[in-house]
Amino acid sequence: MSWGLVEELQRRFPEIEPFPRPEESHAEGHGPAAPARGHGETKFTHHVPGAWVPAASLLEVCRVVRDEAPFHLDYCSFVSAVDWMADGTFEVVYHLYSMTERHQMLLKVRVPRQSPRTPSVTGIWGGTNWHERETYDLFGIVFEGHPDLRRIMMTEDWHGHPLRKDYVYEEPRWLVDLATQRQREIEGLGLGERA
Amino acid sequence: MPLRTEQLMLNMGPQHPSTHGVLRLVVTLDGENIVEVQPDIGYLHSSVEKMMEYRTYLMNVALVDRGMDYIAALANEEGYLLAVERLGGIDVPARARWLRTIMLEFQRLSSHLVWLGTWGIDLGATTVFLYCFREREVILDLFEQVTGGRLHHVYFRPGGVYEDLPPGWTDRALAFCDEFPGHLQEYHDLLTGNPIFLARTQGVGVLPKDAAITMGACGPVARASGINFDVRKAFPYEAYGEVEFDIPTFEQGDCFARYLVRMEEMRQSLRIIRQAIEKLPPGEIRSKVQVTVKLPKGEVYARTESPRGDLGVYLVSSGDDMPYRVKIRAPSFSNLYALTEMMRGWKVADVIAILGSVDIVLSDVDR
Repeated sequence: MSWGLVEELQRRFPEIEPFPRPEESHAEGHGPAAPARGHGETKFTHHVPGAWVPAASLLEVCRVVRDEAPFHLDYCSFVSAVDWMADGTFEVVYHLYSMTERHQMLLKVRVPRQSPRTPSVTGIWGGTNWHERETYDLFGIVFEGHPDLRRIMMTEDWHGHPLRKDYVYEEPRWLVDLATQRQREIEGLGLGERA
Repeated sequence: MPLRTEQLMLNMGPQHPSTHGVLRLVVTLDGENIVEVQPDIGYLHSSVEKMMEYRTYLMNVALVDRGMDYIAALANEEGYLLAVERLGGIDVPARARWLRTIMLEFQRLSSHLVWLGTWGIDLGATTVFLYCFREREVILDLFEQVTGGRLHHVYFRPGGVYEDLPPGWTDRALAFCDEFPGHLQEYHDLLTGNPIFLARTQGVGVLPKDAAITMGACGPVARASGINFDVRKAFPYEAYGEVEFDIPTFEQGDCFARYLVRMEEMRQSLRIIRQAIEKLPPGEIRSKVQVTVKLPKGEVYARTESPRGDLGVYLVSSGDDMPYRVKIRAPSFSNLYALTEMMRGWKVADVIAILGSVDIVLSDVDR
């Protein structure tokens, strides 16, 4: 049912690229389990219907899928991203659901890892505010037009974006300073020495 | 001298007994009216999603059990394993599906009891807390007899469950189901007719239906605002498609409606448990799955109804024995954001009542 929805979307926006359909008929992601397949195969299976959208037309596509029939996707479950480091891209993922029509769709936007920027959809689904902040915080993707784009999970002075595949943990400066200070205090008490 | 007024910024938390965890609320006040509430989160952030990328699919069961919603550990395991099983095409035997359903509903009961008890304390009704934890203790004992754990079970496995029920367990579970409606009536007697409780919850913290959808509210919060949506009905998983139950929905969208939704959900959970124990089929409890199972390349989004709402797991596999990327769509995260909408315009004294009615778990928010 929902794969037809993606076709309908492609009819209106020829620039989008639908996911390749999985071979099984019940690959909606919530039917009975799909039969087990060999692990040698290299094809990437999309169990949820959806499409890649160019960043330039994201806002227009989102407005249409929220407001117009037959989509009415009025609920955005989450916004997140996947780091495809080998390809040099991030995929920003939007999961949409319709409370009235009861169907779902994934939208993905490919952004370059070098300068990850994509328009913010907070004007369309207000609830994406924190989700976009989290994606910005953990991936470093800038959502243009976001009303309050700050870090949400990590502290303001954090270096790097933890969910990137090339992230290397670095002790924050204040933590190093604090630990050094504590160490000196303990040494002054003679507690830190070992026989 | 002319009278001068100014807005006051009030910090609640992060170490405040009523914030149910480590949450800081930055409340902007005009007199005692709330202008704006900005929750400040991240104090419990442990980046479970990152850690999962470095652990095998089996090891991750223990990780999601502890790393997320610690009040409802089995619900996390279920959400994660549903994604794994759908992506890998792993078959779950019928008995295991029914066992999971029973356990998940007991988990919902115990989670709602913690919520009711702690919210009761927030509102000054200490007795409810003692009553709720008395019943929760029985449920935890039932869990312990099956899984060996009281809070963190690690009971579900890819392709089934860890162990079968011990002898006599179903009788003890049914005995609990028989006596629990009486206890539920006790809570109703203590709260539902209590004028102080009503004054503090009825019409307070209203979240209108359209705002609830836009803000991404889910679970009991959404159902109290008139959204008739429950993942167990919309996308049936495990044995939920084969049992009868109702989705309590209220239109008011206030704290009292959220309370009524959860109270009724407990009754529905009992209904499900009774049916599931009756229909529990014999047979295998686990299909054969390799310890270092490799999932085929692909992505899947599995939704489950955790006690707090729509728990989604978006899983991307690159064909390895560890996930390439896991996104956990935590219900508390979305509901906490909807809180900013509920709080606007209420008095500072209502903050705790409204916050408690949302039923957030900060470990679930921050992950």
